[in-house]
Amino acid sequence: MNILTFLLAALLAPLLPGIVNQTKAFFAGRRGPGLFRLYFDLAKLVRKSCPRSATSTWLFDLAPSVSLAATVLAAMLFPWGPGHGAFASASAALFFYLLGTGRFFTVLGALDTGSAFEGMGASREVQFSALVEPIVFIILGFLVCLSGDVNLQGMLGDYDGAAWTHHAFSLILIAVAFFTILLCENCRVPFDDPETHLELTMIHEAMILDNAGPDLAFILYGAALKFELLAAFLVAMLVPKLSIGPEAKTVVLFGGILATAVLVGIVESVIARMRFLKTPQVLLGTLMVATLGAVLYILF
Amino acid sequence: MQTKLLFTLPIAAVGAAAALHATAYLHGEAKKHLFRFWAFFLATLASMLAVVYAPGKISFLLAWEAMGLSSAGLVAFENTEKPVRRATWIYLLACHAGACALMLAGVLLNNPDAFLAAFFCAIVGFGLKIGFPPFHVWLPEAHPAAPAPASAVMSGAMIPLGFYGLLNFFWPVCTAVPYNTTAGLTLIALGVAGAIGGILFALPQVNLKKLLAFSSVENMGVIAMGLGLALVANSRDGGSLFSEIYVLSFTGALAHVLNHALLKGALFLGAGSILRQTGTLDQDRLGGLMKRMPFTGTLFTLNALGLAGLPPLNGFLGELLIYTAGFLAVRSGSPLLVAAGFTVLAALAFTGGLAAAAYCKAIAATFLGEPRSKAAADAVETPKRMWIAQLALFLGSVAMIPGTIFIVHTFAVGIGENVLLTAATIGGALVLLTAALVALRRFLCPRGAVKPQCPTWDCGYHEPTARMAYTATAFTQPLADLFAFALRPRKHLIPFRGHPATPTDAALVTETDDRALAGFWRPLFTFFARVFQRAHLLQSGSLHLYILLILITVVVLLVAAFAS
Repeated sequence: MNILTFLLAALLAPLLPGIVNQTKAFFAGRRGPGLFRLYFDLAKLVRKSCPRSATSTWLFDLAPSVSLAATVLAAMLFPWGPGHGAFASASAALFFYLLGTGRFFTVLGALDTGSAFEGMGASREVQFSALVEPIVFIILGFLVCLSGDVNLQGMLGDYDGAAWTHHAFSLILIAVAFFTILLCENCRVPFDDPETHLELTMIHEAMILDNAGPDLAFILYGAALKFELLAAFLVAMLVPKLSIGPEAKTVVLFGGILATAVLVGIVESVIARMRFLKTPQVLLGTLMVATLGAVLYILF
Repeated sequence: MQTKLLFTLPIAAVGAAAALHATAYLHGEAKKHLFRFWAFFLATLASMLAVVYAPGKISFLLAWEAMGLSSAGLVAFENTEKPVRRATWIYLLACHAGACALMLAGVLLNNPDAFLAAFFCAIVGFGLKIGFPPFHVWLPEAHPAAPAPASAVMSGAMIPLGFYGLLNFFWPVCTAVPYNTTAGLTLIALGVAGAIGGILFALPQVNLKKLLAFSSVENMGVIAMGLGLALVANSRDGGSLFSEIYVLSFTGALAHVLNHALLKGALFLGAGSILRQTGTLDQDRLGGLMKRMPFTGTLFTLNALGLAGLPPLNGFLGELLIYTAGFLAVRSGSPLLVAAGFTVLAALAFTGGLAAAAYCKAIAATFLGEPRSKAAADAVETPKRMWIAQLALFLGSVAMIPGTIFIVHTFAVGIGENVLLTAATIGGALVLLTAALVALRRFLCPRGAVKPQCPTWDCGYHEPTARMAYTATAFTQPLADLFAFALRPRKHLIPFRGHPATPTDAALVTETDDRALAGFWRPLFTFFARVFQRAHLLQSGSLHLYILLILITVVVLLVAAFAS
């Protein structure tokens, strides 16, 4: 495991929401909150106290820590630099299930407050994530076919560049499907709008209404890290083995992550959030797209 | 021998824990009721052991019948209540129909050419115990009706015995050409239907034990998927990769038998504790129990996390083996196996997501927020014995983490060991890292800075009450509506009445009943009843006619015997 690249990734994570917001500000003609806003926010939050509701229990206290720990561990499994992550034989299923554990506790922490808003957010979160899971595993199955490897590290980019000439269509379909999941899992437009604070229309923001201080810092950092992880996953699976060496791939990886953040910002600038009732249909459509990609790859 | 041990362990572990729990659960019952419970309880355990260690087919069938009858005695414990009598009746019917199919399967098994017929009879017979759809009809009826310790034993240890029967009598032929493809695809189809159907129906249930019962259908589906994938892999001859898929998938399914037994046993005991302390299992009337019953609540949460198949607990390990087998299957190149692999991957992932949703709901509606009824508000922690029983099962499930690795190391010649070791290490790391973050948080906001006495922020409302919180029904409504085509929930809406300025109370009640009973079994039994009405012609009450019928039967049998 390359510790330096992991640390770089960990440091870089809070930059990504900044990039998204600056991109959106550019499209809207505003000055924007600045690229490093989240770093300042985190520094401010860790110095605050944690007030908590009299209704909540130990789950509410524990949830942000578990959720962040699970995300950090998933990040440690990810092959950031040359070579593999913390474990050579880490399964991709483990990677996504760790994110699932994080979500499980976030949802419980939200429901622990007994608030209707947080219940609403949690209810939507579990609904959408249940629909996302099969898409993720269809994509993982496709990646196994593509690379012939069942480990996380081998699955991501351990294939010949020739695949892009023979199976470009499949790869594009899979990339589109994964990008859609990335938006859904990170609660971005068109699935969720991170800007409509305190509205009935949100998912992730609604779940953390009662968190403050270091807890909120854990949650915000965890969310940024998860965003970075999924962006990195997207980039890593699309870039095949490079002839100029594994170091080049690391550079491409980090460049790609930043580019993905810009792309998310563009998407958020040009489309509006859709109605929640449409979300399951879009996710079913995404499942079809992913399946089509896999089927086309296997047939041709 | 190894399978025998593997199926004995849940009987012993869940049996012992349930017995400990029952000593407190039944506290205050009349002596003759206690005698009846323990007699049936011990008879059930004994007959389950007899099923596992039966030396032959006949003794197996006898033990199987004894198991069904003695556990029916447990289901009927509170037989003064009508729903309990109804549940017992359905359970007895399911047991007998199952035994009937099994006898047929046993006879057919003697004829090697009729193996597939025997196999399908066994699927029906064992499926009626395991709860393959649509044979799962008794589970959501009998589990809520039975006392919690009995449900724990039946769900954790008894229903997987159906898989024991399949493994013991059918596996050697199942794994051989030409039957393995058919058998494997059948098991995968039943597994996918059971896993997704089971958890979909579990989701909207407001009765906690009914939710757990449907979740058993789901877990049995997961096991069936694993076994099915193993068979399909075995049917393609392709060398070592295929045997690797077989071993991974098979071991994963068996590990899940153990994991499910311990966790589900503990969850049913937890539900029993809640019923005893509050008098209700209706999740829309519970809530806030984590503060009032901290041990029960914490253990229920941990066990549910395990059963939702999430790391770091053991429920994940069995599924991880099946996932790994699925990954290997999709790259195997054999079209059938690739299709089976993709199906298993997607179905298992979907099931996992829905299971997490269902358990989040079960934990939240029961233990979190404010109590929604006086019964829940007045609840206190159970006697120690009750949560110690759950703690023991939870610790057993933690011990299953190295246990699963040991099983893989010893019996599966180490296939998949690395994947499991990594998962277990990461699980340990997750616990440690969480502890470190909790310590960091404590350092950042020391206890004095934590102000727990403010109310939940609810958009400016000063005194949020339990009535404003999300209920169990509300939490699952989006998913329940999305799958309404399958679930067919019944909604009773009592609209506002009176003048719009002074409306009366309105209410919305949603019920999601099992479809198999109303959609499959009732029409089937009605049809049979109509057909057999005709047989009433024979039942004239005239002795002469009966003697004539006996004579005709004897003559026909004699002629048939001489003719052949």
